[in-house]
Amino acid sequence: MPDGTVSSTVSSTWSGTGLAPGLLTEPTGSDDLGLIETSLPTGTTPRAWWWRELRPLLLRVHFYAGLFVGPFLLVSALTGLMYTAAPRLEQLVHHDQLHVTVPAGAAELPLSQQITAAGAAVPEGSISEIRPPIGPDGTTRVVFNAPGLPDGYFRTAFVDPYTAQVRDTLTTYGQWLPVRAWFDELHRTLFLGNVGRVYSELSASWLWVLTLSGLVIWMARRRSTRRLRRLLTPRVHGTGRGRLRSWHGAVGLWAAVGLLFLSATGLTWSQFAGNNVDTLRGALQWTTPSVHTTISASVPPALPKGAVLAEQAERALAVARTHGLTDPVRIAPPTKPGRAWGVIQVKRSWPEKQDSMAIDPATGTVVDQLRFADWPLAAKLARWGVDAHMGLLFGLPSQIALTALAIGLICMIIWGYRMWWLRRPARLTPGDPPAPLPAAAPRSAAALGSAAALGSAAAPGSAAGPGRARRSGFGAVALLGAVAIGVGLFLPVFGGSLLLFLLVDAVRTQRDASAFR
Amino acid sequence: MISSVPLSVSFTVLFAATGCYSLLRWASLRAGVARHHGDQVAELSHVVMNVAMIAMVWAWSGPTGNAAQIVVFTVLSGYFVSRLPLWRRPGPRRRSSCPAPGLHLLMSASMVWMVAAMPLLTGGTATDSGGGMVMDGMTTGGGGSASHDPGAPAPGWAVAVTLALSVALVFAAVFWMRRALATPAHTGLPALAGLPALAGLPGHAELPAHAGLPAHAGLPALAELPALAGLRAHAELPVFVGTGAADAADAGDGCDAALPGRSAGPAGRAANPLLAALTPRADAVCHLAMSLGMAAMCLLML
Repeated sequence: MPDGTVSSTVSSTWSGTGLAPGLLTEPTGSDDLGLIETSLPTGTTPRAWWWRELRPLLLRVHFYAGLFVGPFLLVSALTGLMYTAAPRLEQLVHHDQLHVTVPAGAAELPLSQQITAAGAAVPEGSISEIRPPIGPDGTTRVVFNAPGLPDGYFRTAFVDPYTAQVRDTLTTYGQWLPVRAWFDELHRTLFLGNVGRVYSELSASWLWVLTLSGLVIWMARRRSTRRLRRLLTPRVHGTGRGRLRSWHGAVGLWAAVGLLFLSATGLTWSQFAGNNVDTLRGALQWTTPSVHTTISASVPPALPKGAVLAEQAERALAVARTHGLTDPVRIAPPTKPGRAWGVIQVKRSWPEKQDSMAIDPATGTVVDQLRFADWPLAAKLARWGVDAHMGLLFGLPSQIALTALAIGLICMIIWGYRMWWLRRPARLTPGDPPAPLPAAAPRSAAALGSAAALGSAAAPGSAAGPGRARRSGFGAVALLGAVAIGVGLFLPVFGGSLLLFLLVDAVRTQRDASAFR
Repeated sequence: MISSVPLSVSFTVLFAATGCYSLLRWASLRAGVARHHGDQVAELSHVVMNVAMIAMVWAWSGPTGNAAQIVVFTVLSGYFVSRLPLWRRPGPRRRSSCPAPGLHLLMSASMVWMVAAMPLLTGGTATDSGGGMVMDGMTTGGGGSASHDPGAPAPGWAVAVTLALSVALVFAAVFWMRRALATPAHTGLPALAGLPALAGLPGHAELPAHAGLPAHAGLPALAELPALAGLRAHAELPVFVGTGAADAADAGDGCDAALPGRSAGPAGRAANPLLAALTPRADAVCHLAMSLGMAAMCLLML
């Protein structure tokens, strides 16, 4: 239906009786843009009752969630966009720490010698793990637990494997060097600690809701337009909200799978939902398996230190390589007396290498080993999901894809706000006559009427927002309410923010309804 | 957590049932098809209360969850305090405001007290683990600001406050029981069913709760409206008329009075069986069950 078509069943009852015109009509169709509801033309088949009930609710959920969660999503997308560049940036900024010039004819020095040199550079630290160089021009990383560092942070010494000279020591976050750690922290917490983690959890919690609701609304247009091209491609020509919505919807359709993926994987890292995900994975035995490191010796060996530790690390690596464990690996010393060394592959790009072995350095025997191929499928999916989210799984292609997703999301948010601005609120006071329908942007008379009837105190079709033209059905509200409770318990930040929205909405609705009496 | 599993299950069933009812009530108000007055915030608060009570029964909540509950129920208590003056004022505002805000305030405040004082009352200590504490037959979810020696008796003042809240909740239950008994099973206006203007209404007429009509608009004026003649099968019809019931609602508490015309006649009742079940009597029974359940939970903490 073209933009200009409006219901004609309304205005005669508007003045004089106090009746709300929108309530006397049954807006069952949609305009060309898909959001302003208008009466169907004669001969048009009405849509299914459940869709008529559900659609206004989905529109309002998408509208309000987008409006209020948009800023958080925008920050997530912007910081995520920056993060996609972090791996490349890390290589540039930390080139000197990561790479060495290979001397002609030189051979790598024993690992134990390199570890000893690193220990001298970080005397206050205790070794957490050792990462031998990945390539011939790489450095050996010796990672230390050091006093005064925040949780998750380490002191890492970068050792030239040919000279055993420590090229630098840096504070690292896991395996990330300072540049990537900075972007990582920005994306996760905005440098606000656990409080900041709520922002990213809020984004991840609502991203899937926005994506699914938008997807359903946009896909449903195909039934009315019956033109696949308009569903899949944005309108190049035209102006105003129609064109913006076309871009918003088409880009959202193409990005939907990626956004759902980012939301799901992002939630696994989150503070509150992440705990529930961990509990669920544990209950379903989907946890990432690990090797058993307990050594069955009558006298458990003590924790190695100093030169002994260096020698044992070298021996453990040699045994692991003998048993087919290829680079890149990390070597983890025992954490308790009577435990074995762990040698774990750390290749996080496709094809992933995540095999691991537990090695008794005293006897040179393999205590336990675990192949990535033997991991449960759910654990593999979690591994691949995490690495894909971080742009590691397919290297540059996945970083480009993530960049495109982030840019797409940023654009959709901006288009969404622009659309809202174009139908921005204009307040009416109770008793004001309805404003005339603007010629340039005709509105549904139904929207006009029910906006007033619902007490939105809005100019015709403006402040009400999409979906307000028609009340959501009782069944749809009850069903989505029940689903929201279940989901809200599993995703507490989603549940809490949804409750806040509903409370504000309830107060506003009742206040406006009272104002119009 | 309550040590008795049958008791825990019983409480869970009770709060799940009242929670489902509150959800349906809220949905009917939100969708504008409620057949008697109500307050969306009150219904939402009941949904949250019931979920929180079930979480309390099974000790699901951790320190952060407890803190969040205290904040939420404190805010809701503030809302119900703000509703008190409206409830005392006759007129349409009163009918669309929260029913018995004082009793809702009591329930919200009780929730705050139960969550905040449970470590104190059960002799537990606040923990950071999020795990529960088994004390005197109950396990708390940890959290709270109180720190107390394990096994130590609860302070007398805390016991007194809890007892007072329990008694108050029982009194509230009596209030709701009286209201349930005093309310007909199907509050409505049978006289309206026979009105000429409504006789031709289709079975799916659903009537919005807050249509912009004055509460005392005259019935003849409505009947004369030309628009009514052409109503279609799914028309949403505002029927706000000044009737004996509405006047009675003003004279009494008014908040749970049926919206005139909503449940009137067989046409209204046939629309949706769930909606038909959301009667003022069911509402009172729901509040009665919740009050008793909360009183019992308070007593179990001692």
